[in-house]
Parts: sequence; C-alpha cells; structure tokens
Amino acid sequence: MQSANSPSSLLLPSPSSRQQLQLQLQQQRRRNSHCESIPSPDPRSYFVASMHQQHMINEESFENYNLNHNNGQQEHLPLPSSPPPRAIRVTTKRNYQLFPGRFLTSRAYWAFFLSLVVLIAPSVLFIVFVCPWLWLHIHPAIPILFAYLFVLALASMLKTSWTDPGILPRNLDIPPLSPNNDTTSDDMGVPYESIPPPKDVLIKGEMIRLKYCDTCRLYRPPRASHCRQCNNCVENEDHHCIWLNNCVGKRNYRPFFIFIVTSVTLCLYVVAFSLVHLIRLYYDNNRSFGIALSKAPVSLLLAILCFILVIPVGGLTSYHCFLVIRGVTTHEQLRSAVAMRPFEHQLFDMGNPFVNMFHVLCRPQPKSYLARRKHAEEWYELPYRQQQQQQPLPQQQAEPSSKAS
Amino acid sequence: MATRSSMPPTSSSEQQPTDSVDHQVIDISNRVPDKAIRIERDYSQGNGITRFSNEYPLLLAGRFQHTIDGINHLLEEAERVSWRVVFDNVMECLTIYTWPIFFRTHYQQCIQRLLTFIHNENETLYHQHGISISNPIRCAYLFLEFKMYN
Repeated sequence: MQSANSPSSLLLPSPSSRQQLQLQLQQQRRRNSHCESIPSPDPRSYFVASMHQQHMINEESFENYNLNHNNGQQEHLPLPSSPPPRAIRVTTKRNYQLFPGRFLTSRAYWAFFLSLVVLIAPSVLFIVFVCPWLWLHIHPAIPILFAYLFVLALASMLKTSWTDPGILPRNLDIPPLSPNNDTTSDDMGVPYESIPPPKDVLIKGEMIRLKYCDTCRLYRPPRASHCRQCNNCVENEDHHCIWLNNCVGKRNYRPFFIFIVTSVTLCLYVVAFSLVHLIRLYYDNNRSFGIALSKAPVSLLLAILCFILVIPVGGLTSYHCFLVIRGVTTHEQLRSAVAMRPFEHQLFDMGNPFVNMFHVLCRPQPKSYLARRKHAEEWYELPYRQQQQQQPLPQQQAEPSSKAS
Repeated sequence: MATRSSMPPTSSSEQQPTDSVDHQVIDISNRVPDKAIRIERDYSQGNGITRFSNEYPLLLAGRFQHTIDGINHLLEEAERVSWRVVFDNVMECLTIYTWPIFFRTHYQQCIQRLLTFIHNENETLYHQHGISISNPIRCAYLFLEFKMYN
C-alpha cells in the first residue's frame, strides 16, 4: 500500500536536506502528475461507443480496480492561494467547471462535441428538409412531437454531462501518522502513514469488507467505485462515458437513461418518417424511384444514417434496460462475470424486477456532496503535516482527532 | 476531519478592538475540535436508504439517541420511493427539467427539514456543552461527526 515512489508518504527529517528532498519530490510529483494528466492513453477508448467498447473500458478499469487500492497514485492538491479558490478547484484536478460551481464535467471534451454534433446534425437536417412536407401532407403533430423529443434528448444529454455524478469528497478518513520508530519508517528514518485498519460493515446479515481508497483517502461505501479518468470516487458509479465526458453515477443516472431512450426514439422516428416521405413521393410520381429520390435526396441519406446509428445506441439502451431490471450498475455486472468476492449488489437486490426498476429510475436525486459554490477550507499536504505536528503554529493547531465509533 | 484546518481565512468573525489588539471571535462550527466522535452509517437494512447506526460508545449520554433517531427518521422520509417522488420525477422529465425550478421536490424539502433539525439541536442542546454536530452532507453521509470542544 505504501509505495516508495509515492511522494506524499515520505516525510522530511531535517531542514537542510528537507529542501533538497522537497525539490526532488516536487519534480517527481510533477512527473507523476504529468503522466496522470494525459487523458486516457489507452487507444481503445477512442473507438465508437458500443456495448463492446464499454466492456473494454470497464475491463481495463476492473483490472486496475484491485491494484488501485494498493498502489494509489496520489493526486496532489494544489495549495490554495488567497483568496481561497472554490471548493471544486481544490478537490479534483481532472474536472473542469463551467460557470464556476454550477456545472461539472471531465477532461477530453472533444468526444462530447462529437456526440453533440451527432445528435444535432441529423435532427436539424430532418427539421429543415422533411418536417415541412410532413406538416403539410401528413399531420402537424409529427414535427411538433419530434421537436419535443429532440429538446428532451438535448437537455438530458447536457444534464448528464454537466451534473456531478455523486463524487465523494476527499480526505474523510486520513490515517494518523505512525510514531517515528524503526519498524515503521523507511530507509531514511522517515515515518510512514499508518495503514488504515480494515473496516467491515454488516449488510443484511453478511459482513462486507469496505475498500480503502488511497487517492481519495476514505473508506469507499458499498457500491461506490473509483473512476480512473476522473480520479474520483463516485457513488453507485455505472461507468465513465467519454461521449458525455462525465461519469454516470447515482445522481445523473436518470437523465442518462432518458437520454439514451429518447435518442433511440428519435433515430427510429427519423428512419420511419424519412421512409414515409420517400414512399409517398414514390407512389405520387407514378412509382418512379428516380423522381422520388431527386425530390428528396436528404430523406434517403437521413434514413440510412439513422439506421446505422440505431444499432449502437439501441444496443446500449437494451443493455441498460437489462441492468435496470436487475438493479445493478455496469461495473457490478461486468465484475460478477469474474467472480472474486461476495457480490455486494446481490445484497441490495429488491427481488422483484419491477421494484428494482422503480427504485433505480425513480429514487430522488441526492444533493451534491461537494459544496461547489462555497470556498475551500485550507488544506495542507503531507510534508506540511509533519511541520504542523512538530511546530504547532499559532494559527493551526495540530488536532489529533481520535475516532471512537 | 483529521488535519484539515477548519479555519478559513475569511471566517465569519467579529472584531473587537481592545487595547489595539484585535480579537477574532470565531463561530463554533468553524473551530478546531479537540475530539471527534463518529457515528458510522448503518447499511444493515440493505435498501439503500441512509441511516446512522444506533450503537454508540458509552461516552455519549442519552440525548444523542433522540438526535440520531430524528435524523434517521427524516432521512428515511426523504429517500423512501413514494408516489410523491415518482410524480416529481415524471413531471421533471416531461417538462424537460424545468419543473424543479418552480416547485421544490419532496427530497429537497426533507433535506431542508433535516438541516433545520440539526441546526436546532445544535443551538438548543449541544453548543452549551461544547459539542457540535457536523453537516452529514459534507461527509457524504458516511458518518455523523460529533465534534467536542473543551
């Protein structure tokens, strides 16, 4: 758990060598954080989103899931400068915020723009080229319904992408520093942080061991998961969606589900009514396909394009319908295929598939745990903790808060 | 929270200049506690509803039970999936997420009641003994922290 490379676990012994060490540590930290800041170096994650692709992404994160717990590469929080920055800047280096505090998204926003284009372009083409004909010749309700679905899909997409998925705040369970003796220090006589004791909780009669997340420094609650791309622990994390540039977790699962369902509906709608347009023109023009095509080339293009789009999106939607009925998240579903420990999610299963669906889709959206619009509290990194404990400054009292629960 | 200094530089404070020395009075919720007792979360029911454990160390006296029961009761009311919650969600979906702008959802109301309850308990009971209950939302409902200042 304590890797020798992890800079924050080394504490500085004396002032003279402290500065040298600090320089080295800072360089190492910069190197580490530089490596970590390359967004998803795995080329597999740049493929078109399909069920299989998600499977690959989750496999990769699953392989590292057990490792992460032990070799947590620590993401170091920047020292807040005065005035203290908004809390969201300090908690996560990997997340961006627009209109500080109100929206929260992740890195790699090119995929988000691409999916925005894929949603908007065919819809706009449909509205411009096919809807006028539909309005006049079939019924005005059809374009209106299409417009409503389109706005709902777009709003759901933006809501999923810009809502905090349920990020757990960091540093809730910092292990106390162990006393400086021979057995618990490394070669340089620098004490380690003591290993946090294992924690078990009782769920419906079964004892489940909680994992300790080194990066976020807390005991992860059951069903929570650490996202490598966002570098956060997320509650009930379903998966990290690069097309929406955000994790899908407890708080934004419902808009995500609505988004994929309305997308499929839109695609099918476009396919159906483009074909209706073409077929009506075909019959109106003495069964001449050539004339029908020349009058409405865009309809054929739209029909083919949306038919191709239905396949991945429809597959994803049906997979998520299956997951909702079972009441599990994507991570849990994939991990249960590689059985290693008692399944937490089975303990949370309600039994009845409809009750599961009800609960997953209709549970209330909890408040965000990050007070994004409030200012951050002062937080000092580990090398300074040692300073704090040795020389209590008048402003900061080193408080050894003893947990007794 | 172990080593986080709980004193933001711009804390709510009153300045009382006395003999050219400025004293800062810091609100009790911003002070650094000597001890903190954590009541862990209770997952035993397994239905996803947040509740806090009823077992607590003998250090705490009987009034804590009433507070914890009150908090558990309010949280259960907030998170139980009732028809009101379903109605809120369906309307939110149908009106393209504009419904919560005009009408407060059931969950928001319950959480507001919870925060008021904790604030009242703090003001009436705990502050005079030098104890303060932390906001459980900031700890992601993982525990309930009773900070002791003495």
